[in-house]
Amino acid sequence: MNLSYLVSIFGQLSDGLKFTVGLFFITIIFSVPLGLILSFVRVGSPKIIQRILGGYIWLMRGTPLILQLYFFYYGLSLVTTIQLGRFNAAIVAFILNYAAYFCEIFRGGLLGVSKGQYEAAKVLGFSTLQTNVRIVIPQMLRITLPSVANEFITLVKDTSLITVLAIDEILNLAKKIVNSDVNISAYAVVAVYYLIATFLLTKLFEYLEKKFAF
Amino acid sequence: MDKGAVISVRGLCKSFGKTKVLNNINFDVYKGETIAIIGPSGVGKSTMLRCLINLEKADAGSILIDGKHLVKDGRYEKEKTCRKICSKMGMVFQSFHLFPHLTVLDNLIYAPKYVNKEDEASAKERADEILRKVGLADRKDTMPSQLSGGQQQRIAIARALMMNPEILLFDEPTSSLDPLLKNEVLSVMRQLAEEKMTMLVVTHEMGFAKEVADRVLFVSEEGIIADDLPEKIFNLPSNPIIKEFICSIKAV
Repeated sequence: MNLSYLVSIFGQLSDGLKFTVGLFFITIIFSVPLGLILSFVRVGSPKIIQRILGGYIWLMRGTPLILQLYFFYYGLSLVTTIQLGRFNAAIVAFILNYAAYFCEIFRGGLLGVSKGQYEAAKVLGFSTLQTNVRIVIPQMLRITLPSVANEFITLVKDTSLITVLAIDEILNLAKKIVNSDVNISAYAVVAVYYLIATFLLTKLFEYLEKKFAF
Repeated sequence: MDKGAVISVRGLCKSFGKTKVLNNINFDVYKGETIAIIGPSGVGKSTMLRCLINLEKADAGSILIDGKHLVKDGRYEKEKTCRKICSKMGMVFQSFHLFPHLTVLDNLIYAPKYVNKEDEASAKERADEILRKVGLADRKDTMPSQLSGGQQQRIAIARALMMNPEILLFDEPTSSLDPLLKNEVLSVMRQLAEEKMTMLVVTHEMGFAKEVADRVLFVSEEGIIADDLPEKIFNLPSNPIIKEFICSIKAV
């Protein structure tokens, strides 16, 4: 095992980044706003809608993400006429799964904003929308920042689950290299990718926590 | 209802579940008056104040604010109308409720800017002036958490003043402050009273009630059992409940 071998693996794995990084960003871009909307629905809508939402969250948190990947790739076409591609199935499963977690995190954050904040906003004449946008959401996001960081970091590693749909993301590529070269160093190299990503995210969130401290 | 009054309350009732908190409350407030609302804890003084600004819904009775009904015989106006009527009032809370994620300046200018669509420059100018008035001109870029309780409460008063209220409601504004910090808040309130701001102050500060208030409402479980000049209430209490309350304070 020499350095040039490791470097060459590092290069080969980068082909899988488009799936790993792509899935990460697409999931974040859609699941965070969706989770945010759902958290408001969860705290302020008629009982029946809250029940339905509760059921969705139970389903998403109550079953393995791998199983959800199987469902959206293999299962969905059996119960509907929709056949998603591998990566699209992965995207749908990830967005729905992570939105459920974000919904609960944001709901917790909303409960952490004191009643007094709503009252102060009300007596100053803020509308409900203004109160949420200007007063509640900024505080809620600050409260939930550590938990959101946790989810982001978990998501980095969860992207590797799409291996089960035979998508060539970085872990799957590493596995292929290990098998063909009969050498497990590729696993160490792929770990470096994850560590770099989680390191950057950790720093980003440390910065955000400091910047939005109050 | 007294049409000359800026606030007129008749037959106000409010229950929380089975607990009757307010039962047939009647009083009037005239322009420029400072009214102290005193009495034992848990008799609904705060609830009464909160009903006036629509933070609690009355079950029955009428509230007239500046000639307009907020609620008439237990029936409320539309939410939008209520909002408009209540915009004549500002409120200061016991635990300040400043917006913790905003600087002092933003705490002051947010409502003028976003609710009244006031030009930011003009709001900032007024904020400077009002901060000077409450003695905190040098703190406008500070976050609320870095201020003492007394400073936070003065900012809360300044924030309320930014909306040019005709009436200010104070819900135990000094109850969570130590004696030293109390004084800095009370002196701002005293100044407002001298400027003839109409104020309703739920308080346990008997010194303030005695010296600054034009009128004192004494609230007990039976409702408002006295509505009189402070000297009458403090020096010659005829009602045994008031007598006991006053004596227990003098004993301190």
